Amino acid sequence: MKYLYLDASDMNETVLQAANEKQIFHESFKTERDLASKLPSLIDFILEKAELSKKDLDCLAICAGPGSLTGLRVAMSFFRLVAFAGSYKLVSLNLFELIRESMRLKGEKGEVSIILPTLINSAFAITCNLEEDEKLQQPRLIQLSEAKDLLGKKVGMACAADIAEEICIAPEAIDTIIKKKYETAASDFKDILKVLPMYIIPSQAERKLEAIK
Amino acid sequence: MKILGIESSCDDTSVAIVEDGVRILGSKISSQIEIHRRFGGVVPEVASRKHLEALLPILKEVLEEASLELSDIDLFASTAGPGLIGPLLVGLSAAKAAAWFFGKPFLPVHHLEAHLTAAFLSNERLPSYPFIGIIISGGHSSLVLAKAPRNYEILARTIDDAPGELYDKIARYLGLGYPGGPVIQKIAENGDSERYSLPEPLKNDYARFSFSGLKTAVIRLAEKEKNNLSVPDLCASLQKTVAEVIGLKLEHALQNNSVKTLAIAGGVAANVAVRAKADELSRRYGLDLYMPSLKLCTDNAAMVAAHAYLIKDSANPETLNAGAVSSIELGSDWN
Repeated sequence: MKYLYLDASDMNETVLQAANEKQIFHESFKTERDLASKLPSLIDFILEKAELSKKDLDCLAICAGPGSLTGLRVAMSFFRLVAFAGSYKLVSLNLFELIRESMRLKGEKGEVSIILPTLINSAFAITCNLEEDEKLQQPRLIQLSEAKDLLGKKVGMACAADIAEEICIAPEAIDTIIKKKYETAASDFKDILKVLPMYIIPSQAERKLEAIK
Repeated sequence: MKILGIESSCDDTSVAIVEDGVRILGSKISSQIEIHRRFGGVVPEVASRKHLEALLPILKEVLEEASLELSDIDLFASTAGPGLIGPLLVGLSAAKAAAWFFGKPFLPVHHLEAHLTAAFLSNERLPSYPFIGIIISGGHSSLVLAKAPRNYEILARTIDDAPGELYDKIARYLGLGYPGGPVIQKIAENGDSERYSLPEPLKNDYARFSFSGLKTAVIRLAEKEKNNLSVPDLCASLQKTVAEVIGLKLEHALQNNSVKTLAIAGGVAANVAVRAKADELSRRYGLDLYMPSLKLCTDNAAMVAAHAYLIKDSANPETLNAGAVSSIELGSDWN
């Protein structure tokens, strides 16, 4: 399968992955909060490396987060438009499933808690068993101080280094999940509209309003 | 030449297709006013989310309205600044995506320059340079001598609040609703504009607007008058004062620059008192007056597409690398 994947959930670094039928091409770029300017040329770069043209692609895939909401929105706005313009299937992936798959590929087993920091002193967390192929539960918003009480091994991304072991997402994990989700991916206009950043964090104004209520 | 424009600099998501800079083939605006009303103003994070949700559906509607496919578009443009960064990035990224996918040019458009072009677009005309233009809205008040599509001399600008911001703040203080401009205008219909004498800030300073002192004066007056305050009279007096202040600066600019055209633009250009003042000045000085239709006064994508037509020759592969900027002078380069 030929696809193009984009992860802009990290404020400073953007991941692009393209695959042709023989090989996976995975690159990280220092985009330093300037993704909107650089994105077209980065995509051209990865497609050229994979010897793919836009027309060759079977689908687009995008990381829905959680993470930098601005980065996710830039990426989503770009990919949703391209999916619409080119009638591509659009696969939505999240960091929880990518971390779980990366750990499985490393041969890890048992119960883990995946912790992804969000607001100051808080994080989204999911507990799952790597040997069971169950659908991931909805993440819970927890205080970082609660992280030690979560079950199993605590893992997360680099930004959770103080409380959890850092797991690097493997290109093969991205590839596996894209292929797994391809058949059921967003394919018509209404489906594409449902592909949005996951786990919207309320803005300060919304939290204030909620507190007043 | 068919240009698709996207506007998302604040709380309106808009997409439009304009042919040859003057004919609107399709145009839609998705307003977030109801969403932000409960906060009493625009919340950038909420606005960004809503832009992402609204953009693709209205893009599809506009293509249907124009009976066109996305592949029929010759050039894609979006507002790149000034504005709220999060919202701007959503529109900019979508327009760049379309340009990238179809291998067509992309142009970043200056929000205020586009507003000035809207004044002419309402008459299906391209701007005739030079002209004196004023952009008055919730975020801006700039008086300019427009010499060419990307060449402006700033003659006056606000040092504090913009007039639309003044209306929003006064309306919020008096509990009249949001946005303030249309509410105040409605209430002022039944008021006496001579009832309250309000100060005309920086009356003799032709390079600066100031509306903050006027806001304070209105609040003090309301506190002093208490139950005797006539809100319709206050609204009418306030509208008259704002129009007078704007008129004074406009008249000075007209006296000191040789132009045949006057253009007023921006959300506050929808205000009846401001329109009447501009009309009076244009008659007195024998000028062609261009004002946007009420639909084109507020933020819209038709003005973005129309302005992109004026600067289409500046499109090149580098313009696809343009980013969004929250603050940028009229006529400035994007890099």
